[in-house]
Amino acid sequence: MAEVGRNTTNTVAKAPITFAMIELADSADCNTRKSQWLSYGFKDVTPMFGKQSSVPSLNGGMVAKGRDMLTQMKDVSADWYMVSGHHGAIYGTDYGLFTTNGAPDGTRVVNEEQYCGFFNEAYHESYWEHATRTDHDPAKLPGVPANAIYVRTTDAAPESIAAFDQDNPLFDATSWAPAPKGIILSACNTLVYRSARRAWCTYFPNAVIIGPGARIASGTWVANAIAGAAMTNEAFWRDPQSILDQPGMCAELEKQLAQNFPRKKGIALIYKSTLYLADGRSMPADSPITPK
Amino acid sequence: MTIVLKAVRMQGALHGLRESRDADHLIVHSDRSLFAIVWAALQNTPEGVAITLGPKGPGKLVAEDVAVDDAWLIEPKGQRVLIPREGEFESIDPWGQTEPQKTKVAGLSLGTFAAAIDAGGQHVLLVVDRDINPDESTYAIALADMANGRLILEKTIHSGSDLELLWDATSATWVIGDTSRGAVWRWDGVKPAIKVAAPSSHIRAATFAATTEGVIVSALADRPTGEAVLMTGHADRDRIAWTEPVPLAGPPVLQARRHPAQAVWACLTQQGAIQGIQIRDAGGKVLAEAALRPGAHLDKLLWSVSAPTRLWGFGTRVLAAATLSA
Repeated sequence: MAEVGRNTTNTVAKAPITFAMIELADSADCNTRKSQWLSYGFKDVTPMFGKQSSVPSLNGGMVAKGRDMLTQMKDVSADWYMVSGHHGAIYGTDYGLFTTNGAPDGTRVVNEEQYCGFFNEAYHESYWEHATRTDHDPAKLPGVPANAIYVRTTDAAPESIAAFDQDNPLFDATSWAPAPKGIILSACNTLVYRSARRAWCTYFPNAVIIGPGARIASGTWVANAIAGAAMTNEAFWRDPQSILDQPGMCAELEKQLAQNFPRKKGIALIYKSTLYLADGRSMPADSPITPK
Repeated sequence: MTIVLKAVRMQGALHGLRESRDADHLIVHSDRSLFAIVWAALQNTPEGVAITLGPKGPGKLVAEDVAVDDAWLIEPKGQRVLIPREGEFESIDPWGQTEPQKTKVAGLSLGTFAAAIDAGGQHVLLVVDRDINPDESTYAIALADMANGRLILEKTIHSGSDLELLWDATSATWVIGDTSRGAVWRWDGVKPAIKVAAPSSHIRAATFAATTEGVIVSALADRPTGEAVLMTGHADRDRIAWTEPVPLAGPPVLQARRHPAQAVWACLTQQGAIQGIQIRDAGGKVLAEAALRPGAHLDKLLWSVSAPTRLWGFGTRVLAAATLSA
């Protein structure tokens, strides 16, 4: 069999649909989506955990197994991925690097921050809360930095800034595989950071990528918005490209997602390097975002 | 015990349901509207037919422009629908007998995610969201005093998991339950809330019920061996008295919810593509079960508040009723 690169769309009609999940925080969103996908007869190919009825959160006692799973997932080829957890700038102190007139500038942060990722609670309580780009020695950090998991969604930060594993098994795959049909990013600000949008589009130029354009209190907001959108029926999950390639369908999907999402916040999608926002705007995904 | 299970497909996205008056009358939140429906008019819907509520189908329109983050509820005395809006509550008689009313509540903003009301109907507890930093928000708790129009923000409770709210009339306190960890807070609306920590087990889903025996927590957990268990506990003032975990043999259980008056649990199961409903006793024994037809997918189970033999289930496109008989 010929090897097929990740940027080649999976065109096998009616093939068994597969999915894989990474949960770094509360599992309720992944569990909801998993249950729905299983009801279509789709197969969970998540290493180690795929046969379980629920998706484990890679925290506490699950960290060691979780790291093994993340390593094994580099070899996995799934039609759909869902990644959930905390998401943000590599360190909370990074906000102070992007200021205007001495005050943190939120627009500059989301447009200029180079390093972002998903992370678990142990990372949040140690590195994210207390480390800086110049001072991130785990021996000096509170919490349990040994249990920290960080999964990059941008270029990896150099070791001088972050001397820990930043691998994202979707980006850092060790084998060739068909490209996924789509990716759900269930966490705060996953499609707000320009550098993250650029990375997702570079690795997965043909996948539909759905994620919040704002802070969220719970990943269930994402799961419920996706379930509530009329377009996300079984046919969509089997072949989203054939639907979204039709004129106007990306904007329609974005509209349906936004109607099922809390109003003060926003959910966004990227398809073929175009970003669709809840306020009706669309733009190249690589564009800086400015307040409307 | 047997279960007669009827599931009806819905055209719109179903976000929530509550009983109004009795177990035959429901208020459902479909897409961006609330509708009053009579279950008897839906239960004979043919298989495969998707119901469209409103002028083109069954259901009386109660309210429009109701978003997923408008945590509406039914006021217990008058059975009116209360909808939190920006700066006020809208009160609507779903059956159209009396005029709509508005109650101003200063500080009430858009974005409410769960709601509960006390027995007197004077206070409404709300789940709201709170921004912590540029990359983080959490749920928080606010209490609306309907008599004087004030909103009190609780300062200590925060969670990234969906929360269930109960009014515990016995202790005259609110119960706030973390649906992912099984933790419970109690709050009297005045003094600082008391957090009752959850057990350290790998809890993956929890529900909370105000029962004739007090507040019961039902938590699904996985043992290190992979064995699924149901842990139940009585939420006392400052602790949860957990019983010995009960193994749950059979298909994986996604949710377990305690009956308000009997020591039985409604369990939502899923084996592969097929979901089912089980009724289990305190020892985990299956007393009755019924399978949903393929393609019918439920997310939540709710016991009827007026008929002890009625269980409701709903998913985004499905409304189901299970009727139990001895």
